[in-house]
Amino acid sequence: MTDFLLRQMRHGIWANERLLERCRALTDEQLDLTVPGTYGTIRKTLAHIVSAEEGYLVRLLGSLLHEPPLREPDLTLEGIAAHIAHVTNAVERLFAKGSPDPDRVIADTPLRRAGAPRFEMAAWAPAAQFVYHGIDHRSQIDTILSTHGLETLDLQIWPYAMELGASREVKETR
Amino acid sequence: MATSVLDHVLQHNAWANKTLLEFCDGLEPAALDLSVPGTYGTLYLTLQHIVGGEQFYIRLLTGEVLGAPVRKTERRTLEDLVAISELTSARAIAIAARDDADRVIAPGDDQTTVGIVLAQLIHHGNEHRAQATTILGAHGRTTPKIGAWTYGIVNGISRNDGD
Repeated sequence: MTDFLLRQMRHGIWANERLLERCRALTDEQLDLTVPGTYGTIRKTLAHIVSAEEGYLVRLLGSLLHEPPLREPDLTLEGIAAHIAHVTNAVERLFAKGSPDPDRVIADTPLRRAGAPRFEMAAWAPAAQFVYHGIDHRSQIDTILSTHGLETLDLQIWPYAMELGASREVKETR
Repeated sequence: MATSVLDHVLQHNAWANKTLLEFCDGLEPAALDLSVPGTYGTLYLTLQHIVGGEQFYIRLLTGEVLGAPVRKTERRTLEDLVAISELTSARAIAIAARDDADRVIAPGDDQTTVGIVLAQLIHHGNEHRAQATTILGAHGRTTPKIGAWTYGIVNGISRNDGD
């Protein structure tokens, strides 16, 4: 059985990829749209999602995904696409040897800057935050698109599961 | 036995619902009618939709309606919504612990699995809580911290409040 967390993380990647494709159809001006109460522009929010996901995975894996690491990104859509690929690869590596132990204490992150405080945490914390964070900010992009009269996407679990054949309509026959 | 990540995700969901609902219960009543374009609706309707949605997902999984049915046409107090949310959250956690994620359920003509419904429950709560905090933020209000980092801190199991 596929680990539930792995399914959740793959859903997040799927949703980011769909959102990226939607963004490719927007103009530069549209990518710079925002609304009060959200993180920022569409482009910055998508970059923030992917950057944070890399950060959670670096902590979980204990090693950088690439050099130099991604910090405070100001990314083009192509740059975001490249980092989604890093996230995808890292998620699969995380589960390559089975489900990670949620209670394993992670002492530090390779991303910690010199002089910055060190946080210890159980592995479940950045894993759960990965799931929460992506949904939170994708919802904000949805709000921005909708507020400005632009087409939004259905990024719920339902369409993802339908696409995978894990959920489907059954035609009853008599 | 180690607590599974799914258990933590569902515990976070339960805590975030309760924290947000109690935060909003402390606002003046007119604040519950605030909205911004591009979200589900007013702050109150969004909160009600989160709780009603989870009640619906538990019904899909168990056939039971836990607590008073949440209907769009009836306005419940936020205290009622907290109580219903506690029931549905506890049941979701119990289902995740004991049920088979691949068990097929067939609500009407739509076939799905326990795992997919639980994943949707988590997605749905996070998505609409984000809309609720967007509404608050857009109106210059303080927003409650309801991320998993904060859940870890208030429960004494994590010390990181970073994003």
